[in-house]
Amino acid sequence: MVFQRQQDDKLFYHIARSHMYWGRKHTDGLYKIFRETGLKQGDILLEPFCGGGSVVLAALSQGARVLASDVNPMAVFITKTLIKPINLFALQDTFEKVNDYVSKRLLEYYTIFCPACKRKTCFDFLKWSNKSGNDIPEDIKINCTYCGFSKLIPLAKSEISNQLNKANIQPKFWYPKNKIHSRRKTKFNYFYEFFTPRNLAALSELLHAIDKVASGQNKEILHYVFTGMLYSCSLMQMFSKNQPTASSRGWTAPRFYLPSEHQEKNVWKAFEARFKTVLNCKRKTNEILDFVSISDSLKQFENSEDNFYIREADFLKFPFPKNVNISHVFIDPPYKDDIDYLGFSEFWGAWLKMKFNFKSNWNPGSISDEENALKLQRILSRIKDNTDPSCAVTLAFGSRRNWMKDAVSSAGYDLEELIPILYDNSMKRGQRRAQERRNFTAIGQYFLLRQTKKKTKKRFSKLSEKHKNILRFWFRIASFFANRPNQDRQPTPEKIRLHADKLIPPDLQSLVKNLEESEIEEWTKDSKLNRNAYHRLCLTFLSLILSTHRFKIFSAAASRFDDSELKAFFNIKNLPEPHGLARFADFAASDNERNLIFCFYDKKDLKKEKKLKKIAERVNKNDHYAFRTTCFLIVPSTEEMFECRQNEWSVNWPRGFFICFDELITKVKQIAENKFGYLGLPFNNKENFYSKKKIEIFNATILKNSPVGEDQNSQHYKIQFEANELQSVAPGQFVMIDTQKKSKKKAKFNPPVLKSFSDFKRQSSCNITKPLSYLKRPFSIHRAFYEHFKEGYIKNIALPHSLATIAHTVFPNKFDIFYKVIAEGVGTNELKNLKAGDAIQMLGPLGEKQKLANLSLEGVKEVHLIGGGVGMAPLVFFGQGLRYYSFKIKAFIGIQDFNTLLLYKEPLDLGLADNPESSYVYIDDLLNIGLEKKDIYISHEIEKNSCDFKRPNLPDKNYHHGFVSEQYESFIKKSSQRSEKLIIACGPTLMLKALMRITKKYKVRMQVLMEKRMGCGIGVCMSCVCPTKKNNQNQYSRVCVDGPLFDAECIDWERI
Amino acid sequence: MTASGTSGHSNEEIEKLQKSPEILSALGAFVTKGVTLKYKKGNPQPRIVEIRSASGIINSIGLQNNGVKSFVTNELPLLFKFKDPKPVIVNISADTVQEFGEVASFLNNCALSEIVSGLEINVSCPNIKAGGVAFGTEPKYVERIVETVKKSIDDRIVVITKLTPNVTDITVPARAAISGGTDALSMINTLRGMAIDIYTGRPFLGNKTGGLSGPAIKPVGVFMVYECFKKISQCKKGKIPIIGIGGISTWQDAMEYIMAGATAVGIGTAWFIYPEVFKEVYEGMKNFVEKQNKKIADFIGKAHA
Repeated sequence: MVFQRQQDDKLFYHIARSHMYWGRKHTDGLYKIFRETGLKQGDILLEPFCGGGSVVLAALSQGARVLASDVNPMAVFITKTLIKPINLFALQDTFEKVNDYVSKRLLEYYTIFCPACKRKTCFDFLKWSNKSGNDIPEDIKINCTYCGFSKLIPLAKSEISNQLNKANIQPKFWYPKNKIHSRRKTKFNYFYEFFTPRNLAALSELLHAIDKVASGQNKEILHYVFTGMLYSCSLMQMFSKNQPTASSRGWTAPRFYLPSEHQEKNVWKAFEARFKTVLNCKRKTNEILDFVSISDSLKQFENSEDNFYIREADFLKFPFPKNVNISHVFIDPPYKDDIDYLGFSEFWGAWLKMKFNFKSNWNPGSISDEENALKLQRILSRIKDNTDPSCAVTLAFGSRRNWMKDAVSSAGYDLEELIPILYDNSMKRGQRRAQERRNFTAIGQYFLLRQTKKKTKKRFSKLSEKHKNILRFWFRIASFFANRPNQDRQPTPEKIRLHADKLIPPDLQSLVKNLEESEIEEWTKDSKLNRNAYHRLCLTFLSLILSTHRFKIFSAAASRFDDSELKAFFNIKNLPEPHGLARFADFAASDNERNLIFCFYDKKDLKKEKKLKKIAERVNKNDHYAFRTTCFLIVPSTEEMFECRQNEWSVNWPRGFFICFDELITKVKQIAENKFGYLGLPFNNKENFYSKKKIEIFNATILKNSPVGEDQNSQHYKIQFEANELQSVAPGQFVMIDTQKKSKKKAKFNPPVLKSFSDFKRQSSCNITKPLSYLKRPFSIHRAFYEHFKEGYIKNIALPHSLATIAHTVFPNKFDIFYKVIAEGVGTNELKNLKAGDAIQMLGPLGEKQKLANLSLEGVKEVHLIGGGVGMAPLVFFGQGLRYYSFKIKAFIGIQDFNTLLLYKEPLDLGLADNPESSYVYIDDLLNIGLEKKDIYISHEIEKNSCDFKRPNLPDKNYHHGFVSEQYESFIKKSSQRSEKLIIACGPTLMLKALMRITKKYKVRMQVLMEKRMGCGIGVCMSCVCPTKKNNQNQYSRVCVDGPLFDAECIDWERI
Repeated sequence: MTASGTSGHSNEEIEKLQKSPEILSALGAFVTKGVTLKYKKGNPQPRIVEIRSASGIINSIGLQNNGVKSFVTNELPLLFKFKDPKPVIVNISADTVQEFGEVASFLNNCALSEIVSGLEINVSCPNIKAGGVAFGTEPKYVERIVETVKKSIDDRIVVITKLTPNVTDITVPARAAISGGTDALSMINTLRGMAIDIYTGRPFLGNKTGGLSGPAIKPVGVFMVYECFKKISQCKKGKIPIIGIGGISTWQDAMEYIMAGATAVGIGTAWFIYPEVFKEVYEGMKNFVEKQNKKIADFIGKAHA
């Protein structure tokens, strides 16, 4: 996005107040100009007269790279200081150090006895009057630190002589002794004469302190603060009768002006106040500019990523870069002849020991119009000679200066007026009641300069009809995306172009440059046609994807795609209107067995929600979970899909799937690389919307917590809980559970915010003989359930693989965890005792997110899940995910005793428990997620009489007595095409080691889900590490963030 | 006001903090986990064990980290990205006195040194063989280390010395650190501890012994802060502020530390369990203080009055 910066009144206010350098452009106005001229990220902007630096700041914040020049060293200093991001804390810290070092001594200069409490305090300012010819102190503004007395009072007679004495001291440190060069000087010849001896002494001491204490960038900022307040500490600070206690608004006079009544300000207080202003300013600028790298030389700028270079010299000698292309120029020449920028700047610069070069100064007021015109003409010619004709030159224009017009035309430019840039000038001066008298003042006009030449005729006509159609089609789609999410406004041609760049085939790219803006506008003004183009593109893409799975699109609603112009490009025949089940849908596809129904949805379509519900209801009624007919909803962006997948929204589309355009385009790039490989991504910068880690701490409600096994002394338990926050969980991820029950009462009073964990722990810890858990415990997810999908649905789903990888359902909201209670374990025993309805706190989802869909890209077709004991639990979730992507799955379960798998039923249910078909955990689950009985293998270690145990009803050859690794070895021996197979294993270390030997022997890839004792789960405590090998180096990797799924090769099996 | 405990320096955690502005806003400073000169792979497993009755954990990580170079290139820049920058205090550790100086000067001279506003010298980790507690209990070493570190850095960087509680009299190493020139003291590090698995008859931890942290050690910490504040005049006058760390998990705990004489408090272990603890401690303290119409500074060392 180009114009990510919002308008921000406050920003300019803070910049303007931080330093009273003149003529800063309002940032809002600048953003408007940049929008008009089409400044994009990475463009290079040249600013020959950078002055106060707000243009540089605004351009940089838009992502542009900036070259600047100014002859005034003070302007260079201010610009650099303004834009460079700074650590505010370090800055504050430095200020505190200066404060410690010098403030007491400075304040000592300004002491007086408080008239109210008679204690010694310091004053804010002293009012001097020059009416009688001599400077006499008259009034004093006291702000007592002890009693809070704050008033401007006449100075007592006895105090006058006292203050006169005090004010007459000799500075101890260096101060500038420069002569004033400006021709607009007053009676003084030297800069130091502008200060009372006392203030001169204080200022020199303060500057000395800054130089001594601060260093680097912090010092620069403090210098900035120092010069910023310098004027207000001088004799030029006038005393206003209307606002006696306020200080004047700044240096607006066109000369060094000495008022008859002036304030002698307390230097330290002025410094402190100005520091706060600058701090606020830097806080604002830090926000919009997080990266600024200033080059030392133009060469460095050309050859690096640096985004700023400034040259302190006459612009006529500016060496233009040769290797990079300047695409924008913003030129704001001095045309207000009433301010002697350079001469006045020396008032500040002298204190910083800057050298001013008065020879190259351009002061329009002092020379004739002809000379001015010549000067501007030379500058513009130089710009013209060194830039492309396409370079956008913006000129700020003193409207009454005719000589500027002459200079522009003789330099070979045409003027083209930009929209008048208006802004509220009052903010700059820091007027309090800016809201009330908000009079907009136009300061100067802005013109875009275009090079004068014969206008090229519209080359558009040269395009063939076919090319024209194609370009128009893509531009319409670009326009559709360019004005999302607020579709009311017509997007600017630049924005459309930006999007179109990513869409238009490379062989046509060259034609785009010749298009006129007006053509683009003409093409894209009808938002309905734009949308239809987008619909047609989706249809085309989906037909492409489906054709790889022998699906055919057989009907499409004409009204959604109706655009006679489009047909020329995508040769889709006139399809019949959808009928039957798909009557309300937008288009439908079929492979003679299964039907797929597609609908479009985007946020604006309010009416559509009802329609969608109707479609979904009809389909579900007829389909009965057979998934012979499946509905898909196509949404334009990932964010919108995210909203649709929430449980609340999905009532409109129960049991349907969602596809977002971002993923659709990625998939098409994959499938048809030669045709669509060029397509650019992403449309919106939120590509990583899902992959971003979103770890939350939340409450979950337990729905069920029951033992598994043949009797109540079972060690295995299955817990089911409900939590909407865990929606983005993926196989292999886990949660950290606080195994202690959260008291319901608290949760009721404070539903969203949880009280401190130790509150409830304290309540329950009165029984000191009972061990209590302190840390959270990690548990893998065993199963995930979806609100609108019946258990076992996945058995029937058989989506075409490439469609499955981009189709999503609603988020899961119920989860199972399968755990084994360890006799002496604290956490699992606590967990065991939880009842349905209890709330527990958990943190999740944790661990690296696996992209199962990508496995097929790696050539994997069949996945073997090998689990030992409870190690099988997380693998069931893997199975669920893999099954959805239509991978072949075989499961190998290693268990000590079958009976531990037997689902415990209440005594009344005994009759049901006898039925061996549906009462084994794991096997049930695996069958539920669509595995067939022949694909489930089981090994048991304990031999039992066949009458003693109820054996799950699996084929005989799937049984093995012994270790699961033995069974697997005999299986893999017989199988072929081992490179297409992948093992995902979890279980005891011994089992994993045995499997490792087998995989090495038979060359099968294996991934291992590691289990470790954990402290925090978020990678902080480093207690869950597992020894790994990386580049032949031994190291420890954290299971909680680097895993828990590792490639078996990475693990250092010898050290484990 | 609230200083973070020595809790991790991993990228993930920083990213996580960035995403939770309200937690971040309650933080006064960010202290990283210990950084050493070179890569350290850490102690054998298991490394962490919880103790009965919800009172704490014993850990023995052994300062696993990738060394100061990797820290500066990979992790420090992330801290710089905070919108509202927090002062960064880097916890440093080493095996020899010279190494302390080297790590400190490296941090002082690195490209991003401007965001490092303090160094916390770890002279007290119980989980490394050389150094650690060995240094922390010998006053003359403490003094030399602090001196060396102080010499290798600019004045702008604050030096905090983290003291071990594994001594008879905390004021001895504290005085040594002060005479070495430390700017602040933080106490306490973990207490040495051990846990044995009675079913196997072997120690739980891979390193056999470890450091105890969590609510169990809070009374020890409060006492030690109290001792230092009472007996060391520089602390009492506020010249050397004390950062109270050890077992804080509620705002009440934090107030105890403040009243014992701490100027700031740090939270470590509780954060593992409850990430929003910073916010709650901050808000709890704020409420408590505001209800009485006072400033937090009024409570520092109140228990001594």
